[in-house]
Parts: sequence; C-alpha cells; structure tokens
Amino acid sequence: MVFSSTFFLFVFLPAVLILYYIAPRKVRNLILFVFSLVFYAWGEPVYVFLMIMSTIVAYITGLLADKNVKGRKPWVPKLSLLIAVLWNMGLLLFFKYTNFFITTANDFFGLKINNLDIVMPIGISFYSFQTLSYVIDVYRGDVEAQKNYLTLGTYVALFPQLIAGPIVRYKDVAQQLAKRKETMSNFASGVHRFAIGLGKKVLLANAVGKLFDVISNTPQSDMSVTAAWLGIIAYTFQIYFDFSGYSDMAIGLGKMFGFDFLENFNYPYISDSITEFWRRWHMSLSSWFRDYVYIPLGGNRKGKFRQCVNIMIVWFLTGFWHGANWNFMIWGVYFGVILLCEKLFLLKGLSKLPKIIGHIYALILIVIGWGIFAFDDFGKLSQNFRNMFGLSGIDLINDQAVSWLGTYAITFVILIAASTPLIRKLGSFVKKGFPVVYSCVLQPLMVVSILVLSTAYLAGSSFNPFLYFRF
Amino acid sequence: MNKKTEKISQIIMVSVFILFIFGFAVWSLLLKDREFSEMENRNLAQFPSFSWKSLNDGSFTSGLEKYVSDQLPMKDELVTLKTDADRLLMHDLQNGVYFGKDGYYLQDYKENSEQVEKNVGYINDFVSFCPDVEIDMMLVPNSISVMSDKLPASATTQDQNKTISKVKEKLSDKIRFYCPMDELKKAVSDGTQAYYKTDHHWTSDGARAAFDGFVKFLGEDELKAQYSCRELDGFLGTLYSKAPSAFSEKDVMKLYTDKDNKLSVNYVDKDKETDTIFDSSFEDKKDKYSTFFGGNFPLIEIKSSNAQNNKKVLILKDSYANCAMPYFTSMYSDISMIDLRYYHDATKPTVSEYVKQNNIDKVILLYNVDFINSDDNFTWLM
Repeated sequence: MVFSSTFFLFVFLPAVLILYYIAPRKVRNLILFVFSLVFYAWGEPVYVFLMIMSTIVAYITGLLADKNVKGRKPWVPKLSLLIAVLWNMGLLLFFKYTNFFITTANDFFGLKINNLDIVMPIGISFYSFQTLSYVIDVYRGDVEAQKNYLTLGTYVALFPQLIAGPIVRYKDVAQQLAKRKETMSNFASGVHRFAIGLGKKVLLANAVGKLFDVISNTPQSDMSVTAAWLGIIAYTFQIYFDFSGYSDMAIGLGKMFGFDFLENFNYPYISDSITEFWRRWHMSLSSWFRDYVYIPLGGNRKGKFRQCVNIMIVWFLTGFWHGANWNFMIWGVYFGVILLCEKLFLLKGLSKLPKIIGHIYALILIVIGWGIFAFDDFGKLSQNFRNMFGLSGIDLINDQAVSWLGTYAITFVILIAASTPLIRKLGSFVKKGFPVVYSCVLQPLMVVSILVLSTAYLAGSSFNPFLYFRF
Repeated sequence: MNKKTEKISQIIMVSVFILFIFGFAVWSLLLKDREFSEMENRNLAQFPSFSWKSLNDGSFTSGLEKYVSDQLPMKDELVTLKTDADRLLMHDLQNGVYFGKDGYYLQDYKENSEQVEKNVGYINDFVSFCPDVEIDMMLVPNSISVMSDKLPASATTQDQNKTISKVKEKLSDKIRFYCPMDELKKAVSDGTQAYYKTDHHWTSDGARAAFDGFVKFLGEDELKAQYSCRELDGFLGTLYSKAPSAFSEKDVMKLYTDKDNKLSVNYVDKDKETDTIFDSSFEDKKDKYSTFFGGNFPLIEIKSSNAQNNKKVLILKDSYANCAMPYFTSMYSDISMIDLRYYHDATKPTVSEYVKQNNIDKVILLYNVDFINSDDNFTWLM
C-alpha cells in the first residue's frame, strides 16, 4: 500500500487512527503492529513472513549481543553480531542482487545461467538496515536490548517508515516505543507535515514526472539538446519531491501516533557544494553509512590515504544500495570522487569564490548525477548524455522542446520555489504579523486545499474514460 | 500568540483533517455503489469477492483499492477540479486532448503509418473482390486539422493532410477518392459549426457540407430534400469526458428529418425495426450522439419511400456516418450500413458476398482520419 492512494487516505488511515485512539495505552503498540503487518502484507502477502523472521533474528541476536550481562562468555555477543550481519547482508544480497550477479557473470564469462524467479520484497533495503543497526547498537552498548518482542516488532514494521524510510534508528525511538505521549500539538503538526508531503508527491512529483516520462519516450528524431536537459531537470525535481514527500508523510504520520522521527531532507537543492548536498539529502542513509561503515573502517583517523579509500568504499556501497545495477554503482563512485576532490582541494577554492558560483557548480553536478541515476539501461544512459552534450547531431532546440518549455514554465517556477525555504520564510513572516489569522485560518486552509487538490489528482489518475465506442 | 490561541489553532488543524478523511470514509460507506459511470462510459469496479486464492495472489487487495477509488464520492467533480487546476498551470494537452480557442476541444493526432497502410491494403483487396461495383470513398478530416487555427500556440500535432495524401496515393484507382477538407474549411469560415466543441464527431451541418461536396465530386444531382430541424441542447461529448472542465460550453445537437420521406430501418439480427434513424432513449443521456441509431450496429438496412435515386448502396462506415444518414437516405432508396467493428459473425456472408447477394449498385466507404489511423477491424472486409 502507498500513502498516496484513496484506499490509504479514506480506509486504512481512518481505521488505524480510530482504533489506536480508542484503545487503552497498553495495546496501542499491538494495534500499530497488526496494522503495519496488514499494510505490508497488502502487496506482499508472503514476504511479510520474511520480515517477521528478520525481526525474530534481530530480537534473539539483540538479546545475546549485550556484553554487559553477567557471566556471559565474550564470544557470545561477537557471534550474535556476526549472525546479525550475515543474516541481514545475506538477505539483501540474495533478494536484491542475485540476478544482477548472475547476469554480470553471464556477460563476463559467457555463461548461460538462468535468472532466478525472485521478486524483491518491498522495503527490504530499509528494514534490514534498521534491524542491523539495532543489533550493532546493542553490541556497542549504545542502547539496551529490547526484551519485548512486540515492541521490537512494532519498531521494525511501523508502517509510516516501513517501505521508503527514513531509516529510523532504534536508539532514537527506543524510549518512544516503550512510553510515548500523543499530544494535540504533535498531532496538529503531524497533519500539517503529512499534507505537505502528500502535496509534494501527488501534485508536484507526479506532474513533473509525467514530463520526464514523455521526454524519455520521445523518439530520437524528435529530440533536442534542450529537451534532454529539460527531461533530466524534470527528473531532478521528480525524485526530490517524490522521495522527500514520502519522508514528510512518514514523519507526519509518526507524529500523529506520538513518534518523532529524525529529518531526512533539508532543502538539498540550495547547497553550495556536493559535500553540503549530501548533508541535506537522504540524511538518514548517509549518517547510517557514516556510523556503521565509514567510522568502523577507521574514518579519518588512519591517515589521509586510508580516509580516501574509506570514502570511496562508502560511496561505492551507497550507490550499490540504491539498486542492483551498474548505473547506481557508477553514480555512487561519481559522488565519491567529487566528495574526495572537494575534501582535498575544491572546497577551499570554492570558498574564495562568490556563493552563486558554488551553487551553480553543485546544481550542475547534481543534475548530471541524476542523469546517471535515472537510466538503468546503459544504452539509454549514454544516449541521453550524448543528447545533453550535443554529441548525437541533434538540434539545440526544436518546436517540441519549445512547446514543453511553454506548457511547463509555471510548473517549474512552482517547483523551484518549493525547493527552497522561501515558502516557509514567507509563512513565518505572515505569522509574525498576524499570528492568529495565520495559525487559525491560513494554515488550516492551506492544509485543506492541499488535501482536496491531492484527492482530485488521485481521482484523476484512476479516471479512465473508456472511449473505444468512440467512432 | 498566547497558549490558548495556539491550542485552538491545533484543534482546528486536527478537526479539519479528521473531518476530511472520516468524511470521505463515511460518505463512501453511505453512498450507494454506482454500477456504471456515464462520464467515463465504463462499468465501475464493485466490491471484490473474497477467496484465499485471491488474497494470496494479491487480486483481492488490488480489487479493493480499485473499488474504493472507482466509488469515490464526487469523483467526476474532483476530476473536473484536477483538469482545471492543470489548465491553470497552462497544461493545454490533457489525456490526448487540446484545449483550443473558443471552447473547442481538439483531439491530438499522431499518424500510425503502419496501421494506415494495412487498412488501405485491406480496402484494396476488397476492391479486387468486387470488380463490377462502383466504389467511392469519403475520408473525413477531424476537427484538429480543419480547425487548426483553434489550437493553442504550444501544440505540436501532426498534419492530417499527410495521412490523407498517403491514403489517396496508395488507394486502388478503381476507388473514387474524395476528402471534404476544403468544403469543411469553407463551411467553418462561413460561420457553420462543423464540429462539436466537446465531442470528437462532426456536426450534422458539417456532414451536410461534406455530403454536398461529395455528390458534386461524383457528378450526381444535388440533394433536393427539405428538412425540419429539432435541437437537443446540453450535449457534453467524449472529448469533454477525457478532460472535463467546469468552463466547457455545452453543444447543441441538430436532428434533421426529411418529412416527405418515410423510412423503414431494420436492425438486422437485432429483431428491431423502426421508422426513424433516431433513438430517443439517448436524448436525455450523456451519450447524446447515440441518438443517431442508438449507437453502432453490425448491419442496418434502410428503405426510403421517396428517395431521389433508385439505387442500392452499401455504406461501410464508422460513427461519423451516423449523423450523415438523413442526407444519404433522402438520396438513395436502399441503404445498407455495415460497421466492421461489429460485423464479425463468420456464419454470415462476407462483405463482398453481401455485395453480390444483394445486387449492390454502389459501395461507399465513409470514414474519418482518426479511425483509419487507429482501427484494426478492416481485416473483417475479407
């Protein structure tokens, strides 16, 4: 199930909210757990058992990974940590990467191994990272092992963050899981946050995503350099509003149930460097790799050379985490190299230049990065880059590109404004002048408008006039 | 802002949200399920039947989602809101339809050369089966090419003239080929509404202009019949349904009757005979264009008491032909209409056998460009 569907908005969410709030506090985790399993099983009726199994492994290895238990032999925590790592990585490798490895081996060695009939379980990249970080944290002594299976199960399955993150760490929500207080103020800001996320996904990401789809399906004979850039810029906006919208919805839903998840995005496209971009983009993932890969590898404590190697390892893995394909690895390495350059000399140079130069530099590299990310078909990927840089003999601009520019001009203005803190600043400015009008009228009005418009767009997407009788 | 107003603002925010999601939830529970959507012209999803198998393969849950989204209260109004919000953003092309000037919806056109060539090939094969019959063809351009000046500036649609010349060039020279582009353009510039604003069909007046041009082209006498006219207003057609806007202008449909001409209309295989080409049961429905004949049927035979020519004519047609029938029936005494989309019964004579068995004097192919560009039923000519 996805949040941006009429079924979620008008059936699932009302049902879980009403049961949650009429139930006594003691059973609220159980209600969340059961509804989360339904939410997951909705599209994956079989793989829900895999997730439960994963939680059981995390539960047992977590209990045994605690080093502070009296009389426990030192090898026990070590072994359970190893099992947790092997289980989670094994799961991820098997379900996400097996077919990629088979295809690659076939290509390289001329083998003819058939691909396995594996469908990747939804959210496996997220929940295996979460359960793994839980066991590691217990092992490190950062957090106590959870003795209640239901509490741990609720953490792993918690539907707001289950299928697309943010990657919530157990230690950040451990207290809330055991004891949390749902408040009106939390619920209200959750509503506001959820509406913003829904609007980002349904109104902005889907609209501009349509343009990317159209352009990437345009025959080469109708392409132009402008159209190629326009397409990839559309994708740049689509992926940001899609993903950050989903995180906003997750955070907002969390608040409705009394949880505080950490932020996942912080206006990434206003960055002045790639280093800054990665501090603002998918923050829960980059901090995961920092804490569980980069620092354990030695981080920057073992000299410049080791640091460079560590950075490249982390970025190779970050890329690979995004999908079982070469383009994601290239994408990761691409950013690894840029970050390395920035660390070694570029940042120093950029700081001497006007800010706008750094901003343009960062944006161009980000857009090119998405150009690598967007196509998992290598032929399409290179064709697109040849189009972007005018190496395929196409025109700089043609009628079709002008038409897209015209019809999407307003959309792009809205997208650009929404990528910056402009609207938020405008809000606080109005709030300062007219606090009551703003909080009691304008803000609720905005939320209602977004909800109604989003519902209209959802209705529109399922609106299939059947016109075959036409002639 | 003091604590109290802050509390109030939070209560407002939460109530608004709760009202919204529970409002829709309760409303859809109370609302009786709709079977059919006139706007979308399709059956809507109903509550799925449960079985362990359907649960396991995911068809139950996806059916449930379809059910909820199909039965959403105010769905048509919400879609209208979406269309207009998109228009506000200057998205002039939605669902394959342009929002043109003066309230005209114009259906986008992209040539499907392969289909066109196939269809022309089938027609040519058919001609070789009917060597002794006169065969004429009228290929009607669509509003997007006749009224291309109504297109928004951003439009990038393909020129139908290219398709028309291609058909003309590849068509067997035994067929007399006619395209009423100039007549329709002239009619439009003289102030006739030749196409509906909200529907993909031409109007009865557009059909008349083309019919007169066709007869002149064939060198036959011009139509002498006198018609009385009845108007049906409030027509919102198929193009409106594709991108419903609250600002659409409704169309008026004209029904022309030749009072001096008694008809007998026989819906072959349907056990239905009437004395009119109109089916009044559609007058109050959304699908008003089906007032002509009640839609499309495999084979309809019409006899006219007072036609200008005593000829047996077979018309191979799409729905553009339906509103031109007042003129054809006043012109020819015996008319058979075959719609290849429905004429699929293998136990019935093929079209060329039908021509021979019924001593047809003249075959007319009457199609619009969009149809010949997209339909794959011409194979049933064989």
